[in-house]
Amino acid sequence: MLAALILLFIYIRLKRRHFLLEKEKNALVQEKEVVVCFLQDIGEAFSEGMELDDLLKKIINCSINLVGASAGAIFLSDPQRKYLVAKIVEGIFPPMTDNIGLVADKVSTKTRYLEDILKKEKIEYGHSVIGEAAKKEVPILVEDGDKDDRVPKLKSDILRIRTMMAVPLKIKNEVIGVMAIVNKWSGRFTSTDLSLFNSLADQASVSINNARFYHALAEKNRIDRDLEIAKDIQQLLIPERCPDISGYQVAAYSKAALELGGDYYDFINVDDDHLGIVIADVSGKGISAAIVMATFRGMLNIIARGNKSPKSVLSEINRIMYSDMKKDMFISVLYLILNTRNHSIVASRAGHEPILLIHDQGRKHKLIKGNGIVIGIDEGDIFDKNLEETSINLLKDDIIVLYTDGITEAMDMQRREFSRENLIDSVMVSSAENAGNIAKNIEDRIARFTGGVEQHDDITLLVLKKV
Amino acid sequence: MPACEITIEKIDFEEPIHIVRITGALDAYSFPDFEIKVRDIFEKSGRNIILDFGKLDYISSAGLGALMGFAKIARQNNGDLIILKPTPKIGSIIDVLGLSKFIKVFWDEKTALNSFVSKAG
Repeated sequence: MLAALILLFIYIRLKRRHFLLEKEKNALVQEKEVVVCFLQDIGEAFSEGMELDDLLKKIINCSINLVGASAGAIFLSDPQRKYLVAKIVEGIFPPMTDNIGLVADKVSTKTRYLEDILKKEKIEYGHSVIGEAAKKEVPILVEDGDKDDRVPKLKSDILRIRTMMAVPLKIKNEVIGVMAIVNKWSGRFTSTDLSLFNSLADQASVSINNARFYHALAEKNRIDRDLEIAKDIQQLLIPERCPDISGYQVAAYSKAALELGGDYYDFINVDDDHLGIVIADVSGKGISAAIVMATFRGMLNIIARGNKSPKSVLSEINRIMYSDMKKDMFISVLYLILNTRNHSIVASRAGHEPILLIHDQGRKHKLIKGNGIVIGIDEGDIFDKNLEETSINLLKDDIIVLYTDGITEAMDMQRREFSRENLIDSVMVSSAENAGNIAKNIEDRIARFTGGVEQHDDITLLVLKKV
Repeated sequence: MPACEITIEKIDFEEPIHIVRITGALDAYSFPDFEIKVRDIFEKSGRNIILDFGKLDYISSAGLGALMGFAKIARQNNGDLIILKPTPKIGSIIDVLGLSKFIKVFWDEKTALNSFVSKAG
């Protein structure tokens, strides 16, 4: 009899144990199903290329429904991780402090008003349930809000927090925010609810991280496309081909170090007998240099027509551009006007590399270096006072080479520079060739010299040969 | 690219002169620190600055442009900003760009310091 009673007792204990395990298993299965369902929802949202705000909204809505809560919110940390601000609020989510002067009737009528207040509220790390979850990096369950000091006790019944949960959102062990829900549809949140909510938060963190990465990538692609368009536009600003000038050969090339460059060369018809030839280098590279270059080009094309004095053209451009240029930007310019009738050149050098003249059938060279300072650092008086005009008479086989410092400063692996001497030598050894071959020889020698080292500055070269 | 080191020495003449010695490269990475230090001198009413470029290997063109801005600030305050001992390479860049028309370049420290004394006198 006793043995039967003992067996019955053991049976009941085992049955009860089995029942509890079964219940626990069902809860875990249910949690797994809920998380899978959540992941599917979020996954669909993500594949639709959803904005981060919409994704967060989806995450909090799914969480509210799956756990059975009245309201929820996602708070994101500031970059210094000192405070949190509500990014997304769904339902009537009470503020986390009770001293913010709520107008009760507005609250009861306008959830939007409440949402605005919550979104303006800065919750310091460590303060309230939200701040504590962020600081301690642990999920927090408040079963009974009335008995918990961390929960604000607001007068309005609609704002009463009966029960709540807050879990940190972490990416690579760093807290990026907190997800919280308040007031269960029936009863109070339990540790089982917290376990489920925590699993949802883990998945939400991964989704947020993916969304941020996706958007950063999309933004980068957009910028790349813009740069590509800007590059195409910039290519249009540089002559497609050199002009045919009777009695001369002309060759030029320009290669930017980045997508957008600050180098520029051009030919301008001053009048029937005069051709303007310009080479310029804007300090710096990239977008700002490209914009300054485009502005300079536009201005030059207007001012240079009909004006046979390079000094007067550059002086006028400097006066106009000075006030529009950033204090650390300037343009070095070499502007030549070639008289195609009497084969003379008048040139002004606004802080640019000097003109290289190869004469006497390639046997001699000369650097023509009239005074002048760069455009953009003086409003006019000092610029004008220092800018000179230099004259050159061209004879048969004379070669004029214009270049930017990217040519002479092209570097090899040991950071040695190509140098002006190498440039001069490159021109002299090929001086019997046509302008195209001379330019090609310089380009090839630079390529051999740098030996595949990445180009660090824009390079531009222009060769004019009198034939 | 070598890193950049900036030291500041204050010399008490009738009016203080700050010698800013720069070693390495003044490029997009190191320039902000240099700019903060120079602005700090201006804000603490120092208006005479010598930039010692003796050990400066490289300066970007944007850096040179900004130097012109500093020289203007110094002069607006009746002071000056001058360059000391640039390497041949940097000296040549300053020369080609025509910047020596805006900013004085000296090759020895004594002459550089005296340029302020004679101005004050």
